[in-house]
Amino acid sequence: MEEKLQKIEALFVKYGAVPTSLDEANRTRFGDRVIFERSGCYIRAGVAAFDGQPFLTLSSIDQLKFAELGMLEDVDALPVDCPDERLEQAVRYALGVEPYPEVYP
Amino acid sequence: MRVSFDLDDVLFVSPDSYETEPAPGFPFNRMFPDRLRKGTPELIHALQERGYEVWIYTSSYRTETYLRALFRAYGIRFDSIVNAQRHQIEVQRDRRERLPQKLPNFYRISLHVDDEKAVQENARRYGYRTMRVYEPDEHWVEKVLREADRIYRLQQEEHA
Ligand SMILES: [Mg+2]
Repeated sequence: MEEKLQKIEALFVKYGAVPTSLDEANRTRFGDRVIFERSGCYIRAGVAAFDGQPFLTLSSIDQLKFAELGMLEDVDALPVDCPDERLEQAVRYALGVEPYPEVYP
Repeated sequence: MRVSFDLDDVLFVSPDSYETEPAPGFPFNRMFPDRLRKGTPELIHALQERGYEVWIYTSSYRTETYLRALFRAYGIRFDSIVNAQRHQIEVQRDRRERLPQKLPNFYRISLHVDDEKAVQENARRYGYRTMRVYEPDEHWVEKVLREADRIYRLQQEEHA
């Protein structure tokens, strides 16, 4: 899982996002991961369980004041064994590199 | 022509008392717990096909990011979203007079659809047009379209 999360974060960087020091308190307290930023879009990788089943999540927000508190919204969830191409596509959408298709997911 | 919708009890309804759109697949049905009134995608698309802009105007603090992601799962894209926070910053600001919780004419919205009686009652005083949708109504899509078209024609006459 850690490896997948690091892959996602490497993709953030590949598309021009930079790691921030936002939300340091909650990173320690709740184990939140680093928030990245690209053109006013704050984004974070994570893991969340839905009905007891773990998923890789992409969370984002476009307002600094929420990002400062670590209050990002889940915008995508991917299976933990998600192929790399799909991870990359999801990151491109979430960062706004590419517009979402008409219906997503 | 710009049409806006309230969320709670208009587009977002409880499946216990309303017919709703099928929820998106797992796990998105968990990520996006709000359920849409049946006919919502059809109505929004029909308005946009007519060339009308469709906005959300809500007194809720749900973020624009959340709302865009949720509606994307139903194939809906809003032209703009006004939530409580945006209303506070752009409409209420530091005015001493307490403005109503929604002021659609501030955004040049021609028709605002809402379930709240207070929103109807304030319409005349503050000079905006509104339509009340507040209970299960299998004809709500046609009713809103008819009202939007009526106002569109009215506005054309006014400008003629
Ligand atoms: Mg309402």
